[in-house]
Amino acid sequence: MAALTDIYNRACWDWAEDGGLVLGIVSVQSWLDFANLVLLDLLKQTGCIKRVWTMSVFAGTPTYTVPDDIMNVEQVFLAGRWLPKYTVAELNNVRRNWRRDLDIPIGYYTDNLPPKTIGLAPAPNYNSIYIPGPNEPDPPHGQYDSFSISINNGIFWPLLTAAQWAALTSATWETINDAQFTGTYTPDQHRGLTIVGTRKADTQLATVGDAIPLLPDDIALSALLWGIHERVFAGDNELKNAQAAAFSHAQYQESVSVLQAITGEVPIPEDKG
Amino acid sequence: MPSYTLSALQGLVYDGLDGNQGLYPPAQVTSVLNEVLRRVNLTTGFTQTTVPVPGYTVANQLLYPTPPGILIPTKVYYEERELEKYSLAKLAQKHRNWAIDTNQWQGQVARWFPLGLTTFGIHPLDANGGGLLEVQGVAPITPLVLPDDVVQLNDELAEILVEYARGRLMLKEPGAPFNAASAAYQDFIRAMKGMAIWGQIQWPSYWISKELEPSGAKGVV
Repeated sequence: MAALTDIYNRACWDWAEDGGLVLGIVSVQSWLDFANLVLLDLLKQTGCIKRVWTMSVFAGTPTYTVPDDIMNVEQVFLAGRWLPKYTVAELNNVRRNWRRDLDIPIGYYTDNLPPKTIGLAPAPNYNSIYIPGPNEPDPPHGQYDSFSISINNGIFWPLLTAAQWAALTSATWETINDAQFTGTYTPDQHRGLTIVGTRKADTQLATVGDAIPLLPDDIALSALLWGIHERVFAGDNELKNAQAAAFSHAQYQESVSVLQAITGEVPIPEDKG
Repeated sequence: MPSYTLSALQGLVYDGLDGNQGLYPPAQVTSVLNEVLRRVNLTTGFTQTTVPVPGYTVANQLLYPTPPGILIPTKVYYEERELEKYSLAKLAQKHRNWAIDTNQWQGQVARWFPLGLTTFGIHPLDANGGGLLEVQGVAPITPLVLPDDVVQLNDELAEILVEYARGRLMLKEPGAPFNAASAAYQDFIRAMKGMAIWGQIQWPSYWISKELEPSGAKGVV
C-alpha cells in the first residue's frame, strides 16, 4: 500500500517548499483535507473498487439501508437474481398498488427516499433467513463479499465453511441441484438482498505518513496529486494560478477518464437493460 | 525494444532544464519520471503479464481476488482456455442462476466478470476446484530507484515522456515559463490518444493562453 508521503513530497517540490509545508501558504491539515476529498471523489467517480453487501429482507418491509462504506448503489440482487431499477413514476405505471402489495419484488427504486436507502417494489412477502454480521449481536447484520442465493434447504451457499462442505453428502448435493431444476421453491430459502456498489474508504487520512487505503499504488500515486493540486491552485491563497489549476484539472480528469474506461463505468450500449 | 536507465532519462530531462539540479533536485526528477511511467502504463498497458491465481480454483467459489502482480485484469484463462468477458449486469440478466450455476450441469467454465479492479468472478462455478485459473493484465510498473534501473521504452514514447516530464517539472516556475512548457501536455495527450488500449477515454482539453506581443513593441530591439 502506497504511503501518502510520496504524494506530499511531490506537492512540496511543486510549490518550492522542498523540506515540507512550512511557509503557511497551505497548511498540512488543509492539504490532508484536500487529499481526503480527492480520494473520495476518485473512488466515487471511477468505481474502481467495489463492495458487495448481503442482508436479510423482511415481509412487509420495503426499504433497506445501504451500508456506510458503499457510496453508489450500482446493482441490486434479490436471492441472487438481478433486479432492474425503476423510478417511482415508472412503478406507478407498471404495477398497480405496488406500495401496498406484498409480493416477490420486481425491482428497486431510490427516488423519494432518504439518502443511502433503497426500496423494493413491491415489498417482499417473505422473511429471508437471518444473515449474521461480523460483529454479532451488534450491527451490521449482513455479510460482505458474498451474494445471496436461493437454495431449497436454506443453506447460504457461499458462506459454507470447509467443515460444512465436508459434511455435505452426495444426497444433499443432489437435493440442492434438483431443487434448482425442478423449481421446488419453499419459503425457508435464504433469498436475501445483495447490493453491489462503489466502496468508500473506512478511514480518513490523518497524517502525511498514512498509507493510502483501497487504491492500488500505481493509481493512487498517479492520480491523487492532480486532484489536490487543482484544489490548491484554484483556491484562495498565494498559490492561486489559473493556468496551473487548468493544467492540474486536465491531468486529474484524464486520470479519472482512463480509470472510468478501465472499469467500464462509461455506459456500454450492450449493457443497457 | 530500446531500454533506458534512470540516469539516462534524468540526463535527457536535465538537458531541457539547463541542468539545474538546484531547482529540480534529482529526487524530484526521479519521482516525476515514475509518475509519468505509471500514467503511461495505465493508459497504454505497456507492462502486460499473466499470473495464476494462487491455490487454483476452489470448489463452488464465485469470487476471486485479482492476484498480486496484476493491476488491471484484462483476460482470464481457465485451464489455458480464454474466458469470455461479461459485465456483472449482463451475466446476471443472461443467466438467471448465475451465482450457483456450476460446471457439473451448465457446461464448462466459460465466462468471467470484473468486480472493480480487485475482484473478479467466474461462471459457471468450478464444482470440483483445483482448476488452473490465470489472469492476464496490466502489471504495475517497477519504479526506477537506482541510476542503473532500466525501463523498456520505444524511442517515441521515451521522447514524449521526457518532454512531458520537463513541462510538468516547470510547474515550479509559475507564469510564462510554465505556460510555455506545459504545451508538452498537449503533445502528451495526442500521443496517448494513439496508444491507449481502452476505447472509451474522454480526453481532457487543455489550452494555453499565449500572450501576444504588443503591436507597438514589434521590431524593438
